[in-house]
Amino acid sequence: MNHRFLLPASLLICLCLIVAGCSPKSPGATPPGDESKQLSWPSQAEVVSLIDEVILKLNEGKINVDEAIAQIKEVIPKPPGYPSRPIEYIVPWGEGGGSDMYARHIGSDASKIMGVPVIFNNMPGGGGEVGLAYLLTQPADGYTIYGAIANQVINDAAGTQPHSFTRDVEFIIRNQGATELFWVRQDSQFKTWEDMISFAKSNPGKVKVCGAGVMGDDELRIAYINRELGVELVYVPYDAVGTRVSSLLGGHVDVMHETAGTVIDLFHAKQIRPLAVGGPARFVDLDPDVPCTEELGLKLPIGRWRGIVTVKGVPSEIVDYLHNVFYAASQLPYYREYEKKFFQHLARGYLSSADFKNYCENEKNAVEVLLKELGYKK
Amino acid sequence: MQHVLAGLLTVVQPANMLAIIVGVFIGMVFGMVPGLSGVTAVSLLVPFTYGMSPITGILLMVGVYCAATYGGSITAILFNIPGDVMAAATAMDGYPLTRKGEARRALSMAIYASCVGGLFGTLVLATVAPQFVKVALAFGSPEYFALAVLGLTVVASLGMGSTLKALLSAAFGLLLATVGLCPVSGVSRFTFGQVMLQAGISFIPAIIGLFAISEVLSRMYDREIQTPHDPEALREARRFSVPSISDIRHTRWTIARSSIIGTVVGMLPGAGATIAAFLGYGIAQRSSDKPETFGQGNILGVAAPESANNAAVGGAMVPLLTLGIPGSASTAVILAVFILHGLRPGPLLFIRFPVFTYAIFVGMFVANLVMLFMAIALVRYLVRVLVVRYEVLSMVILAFCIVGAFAINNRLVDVWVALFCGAVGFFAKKYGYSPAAIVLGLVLGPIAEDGFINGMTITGGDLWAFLSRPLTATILGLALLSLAFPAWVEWRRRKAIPRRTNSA
Amino acid sequence: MKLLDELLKKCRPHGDLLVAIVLLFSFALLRIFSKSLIAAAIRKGQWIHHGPEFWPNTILTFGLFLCAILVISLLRKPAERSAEAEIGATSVELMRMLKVAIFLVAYALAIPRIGFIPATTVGGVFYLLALGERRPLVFAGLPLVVSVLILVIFTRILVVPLPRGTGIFRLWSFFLY
Repeated sequence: MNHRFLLPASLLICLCLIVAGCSPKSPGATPPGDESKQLSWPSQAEVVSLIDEVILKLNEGKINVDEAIAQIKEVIPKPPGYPSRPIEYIVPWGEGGGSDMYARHIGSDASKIMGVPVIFNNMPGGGGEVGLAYLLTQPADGYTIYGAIANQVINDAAGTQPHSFTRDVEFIIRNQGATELFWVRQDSQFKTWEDMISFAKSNPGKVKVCGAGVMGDDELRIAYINRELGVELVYVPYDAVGTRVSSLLGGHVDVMHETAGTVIDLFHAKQIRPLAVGGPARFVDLDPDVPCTEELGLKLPIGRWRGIVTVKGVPSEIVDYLHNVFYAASQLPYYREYEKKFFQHLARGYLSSADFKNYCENEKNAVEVLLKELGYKK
Repeated sequence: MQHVLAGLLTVVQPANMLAIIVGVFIGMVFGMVPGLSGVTAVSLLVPFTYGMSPITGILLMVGVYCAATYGGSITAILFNIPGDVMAAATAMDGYPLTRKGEARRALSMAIYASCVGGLFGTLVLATVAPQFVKVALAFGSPEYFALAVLGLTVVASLGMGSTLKALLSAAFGLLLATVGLCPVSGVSRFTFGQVMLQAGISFIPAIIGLFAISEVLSRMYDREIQTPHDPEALREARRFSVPSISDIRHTRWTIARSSIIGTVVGMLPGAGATIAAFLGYGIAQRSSDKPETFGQGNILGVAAPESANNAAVGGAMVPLLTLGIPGSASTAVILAVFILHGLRPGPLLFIRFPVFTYAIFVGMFVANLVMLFMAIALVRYLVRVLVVRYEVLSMVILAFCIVGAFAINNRLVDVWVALFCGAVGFFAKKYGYSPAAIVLGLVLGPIAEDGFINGMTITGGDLWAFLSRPLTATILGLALLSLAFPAWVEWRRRKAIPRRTNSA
Repeated sequence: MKLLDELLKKCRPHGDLLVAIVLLFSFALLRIFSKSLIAAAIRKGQWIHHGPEFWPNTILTFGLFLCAILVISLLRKPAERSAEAEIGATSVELMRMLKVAIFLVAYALAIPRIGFIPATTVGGVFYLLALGERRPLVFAGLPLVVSVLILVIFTRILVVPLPRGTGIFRLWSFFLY
C-alpha cells in the first residue's frame, strides 16, 4: 500500500462523510448534487425517443442487434452503482404460461442491456397474490421486480388482500395490452355479434360464455355486457386453456372469450370464428372485418394486460432506469418475434410508469363498481 | 406409410437421435427427484431449442416428457418417494417389494410396463388420433365430475386396511384440496388469513410429506430400520436387469388393460396421467383373484399404474397435436415450443407438415425404447443405494425432500406443507389409513368441485339434467358398480365361509 | 426410559380410537366454523348456483359421517391386539423418531434465517451425530457434499432462488449464488 495516497484519500472520505451528514439536517435547502441531477436526468419520454431512433436504425438494417444493444446502453442513463447484482424477477404464475413467456422473453434482452443476470422466480398461487405478498417483503432496492397482470388490480379492488396492489407497488412499465376476442364455433347459429345479443335477449340464461378463471377480467367483462345490454349471458369459468377450448368445440358452451394467440390455428382451420374484438380497436392483422366492442357501443373494462412493477419506495431514478431498459428490450427483435408468434402485438400495450399507474387506479375504481354488482364485494 | 418412413428417416439423423437420448436422460433425472418435475425440465429446455431445428427441439421435449413420466417410479420404488404425483400409485406396491428385498424385480417391471404402455399410447396416437379426439370433446364439466367420482371409488380398495379408513383418508385429501382460493368463486377458504396459503396445498410438497418424510419417520420408529438385501443378489453382476419371463406372462393382461385406460384418460384435457395410474391400479386390483395382496408388494400393483401413466403420455399428445389443446402443464410448454418455432399444432398440422407429425410419432416410439435400455442398464447401480445405512441415507433424502418442496414453487410455505403432510402421513400409516388415498383426494378434489359447480352452471342449476347426460350417467353407473362389486364379492365369500375370520 | 416403555405399551391399544376421535373432532370443528373460515365475501350469484362453502361442507359432512361410524365400530370392538404391543416400538425408537422430527422443524425454521446452504451443512452434521454416526468423514463430509450438490444443481443449473437468510448470511450468500 502506498502511503502517499492514504492521507488525501482519508481526508476525502472525511469530507464526504461531513457533507453527507450535513445535507439531511438542513431542510428546505436542496442539496446541490440533487438539483444538478434533476437537470441532467432525462424523462422517460426523452429516453424512449432516443431508444426508438436506435431501433429504427436496427430495423433499417444499418446496425445489427449487438450494436443496437451497445447503443441502447449508451442512451439509457444509469443510476450510480445500480445494478450491481442479479435482478430477481417474480413470475407469479407457473412455468410455460403466458406470464412466464412474457417474463423470459423480455428479460433476456433486458439482462443483456443491464449487464447483470435476471433470475426468474416462478411463484404461482392465489391469482398472483402469493408472489405479490413475497415481493412486498423484499427491500426497496430495485433488485426485485414482479410481473403483474390484470388480476392484481381486480384483487385489489375486491379488497380481500391484506395489501393493496395500486397503493403498495411502484409501477415500472406496461408492455402488453388485451388481445381477447369472442369466439364461436364455425357452425354456430350466431353469424354476428348482434345475432348473439338478440338471441340472448329473448332467451335469458341460455347463452353460455366461457373464460379464464373467476374474478378475472373475463368474468367482469361478461358482467359488464349483461349490465349494459340488459342480457343474461352465463359465465362459466375454466382455469386451463385446454378445457376452455375443448368445451367450446365440444358444444358445452356457446361463446368463448379467449386471446387470439392461443386459438389462431383453429381459426385458420375454420373450426372457430370471432364475433367481436374485446377492446377499442379492430385487429387488422387478424381479420379487419371483425368489429370491435367499442364500435358496438361497449366500453369494456380491463383486459388481460401484462406489465412490471416493484416495491414501493424504490428511488425514482432506478424506476426510470428499469422502465427504459424494459422498454428497449420490448422493442428488440427477440421479444417482438415472440409477440408476433403469440399474436400479442395486435393490441398496443405500452404505457410509461406514470400512465401505467393512472391506468391501474382508474381501472380499480371501475372494477370496484362491477365487483359490487357481482356480489364479490359488499 | 411413406410418411412413417420419412418420419423414421428424420428421427435417425444424428442430431435428432442425440436430442432424444439427451432428452430421455434429462427427463429421467428430473422425474426421479421430487421437486424437479417434468414440467420444470421442459420449461428449462425451452431456450435451448431456439438454436435447434424445430423437429430436433420437439424431439428433445418429447424425450423429456416420456422419460419424466417414468422416472418418478424409480424413487417411488426405492425410497417410497414418488418423483411426481403420477408415480404415487406405483409406490403403493413398489416400495413393499423393496422392503421384501425385491427392488430389482420391481424396478425392471416398472420400466418394462412403462415402455409397453408408452409404445401403446404412441401407436394409438399415430393411428386413430384424429378420430378419437371427438370422444375427448364430448367431455364437459359434468363428465369430469363423474370421472372424478369414478376415480374416488378406486379408493375403496386402496391400501390393505379397512375400506372405512381409506374413504376417510380420501375425505381428508378432498378437504386439503379446498384450502386456498375457491376455483369457482375466487374467495379464500381455510387460509386462516395467511396470504401464502391462498395458493393451496400443492401436490409435490404434499407427496413429499405424505410419502417420503413420513417414511423416514416411520423407519426411525421401526426396529427393523435397514432394508433386507441379499448380498449375493447384489454381487451377481448382470449387465441388464430384465423382468423374468414368468413376471411378463403374469402381467400381460394387466398391462394391456392399463395401457388402454391410460391412453383414453390421458386424452382428456386436465385429467391426465395421475388419474390414469390410479384407475389402472384400482381396476387391476378389482380383477385380481387375490386383491388382498395388493399394497403388500404385488408385482401387478407396479405394472398397472406404470403402464397406465406412460400410455397417458401418448394420449395427452392427441388433443395437443390435433386441436392444439394442451392437456397438462408439460404439454402446454411443448405447445409453446411449437409456436416459438413458427408451428401451430392443430387440425392443420397433419395436412401441412405430415412428415413432421410422423417424425414426432416415431420419435416418441424411439424415446420409449431408449428409455427402456437406459433404465435397464441403470437398475443394477440404483439398487446398490439400498446398502447404505439408513441413518445416513435418510439425511440425504431429507435434504433433497426439503429443497424439492421449496424449489417446485420457490415458496417457503411449501416446506411447512411438506412437514405437516409428513406428520399426517406418519400417523396415517401407523393406524392403517392410506396416504395414497389422501393424494388421490387432493388430485381429484378440484376436478370434482370444478366439474360439479361448472356443470350445474351449464345445466342451469338442474340436477336432473346434470345427471341424465348419457356419458355422465354411464360413468357414474360404473362408479357405483365398482363400489358395489367388492362388497358383493366380500358378502359372497363371507356366506361361503361362515365366520372364519372377521378381518375387514 | 422404563416408564416411557410402559407408557407406550399401555397406550398402544388405544391409539386407533384416539386418532379416530381426533379426526372426528377436527371434522366437527371445521364443519361448525366453516362459515367463518371461508372468506366473508359470499357471492350472491348471478350464475353460480352453489356458493364456495357448498363443496367443503359436503366433504365435511361426509367425513363426519364416516368418522362417527369408525368411532362407534372401534368402541364396540374393544382393543384386542395385545400381542402386537410386544413387537412395537420402544423408547429407543421413539427418541430416534423424535430427534428426526425436531431436526426437521429446526431445519425449516433455520432456512429463512441463516439461508439454505448453511442450514443444510450445519444441520446435516448435527443430524448424523444425533443418529449415532461416528465416522468423521461421513458426518462432516456428507452434509458438505450434499450442500455442494444442491448448490450446483439448484442455483447454478436451475437458477432457483434459494433462501439467502438475513443479515450477514444474506451478504455472504451472494458469494455463493
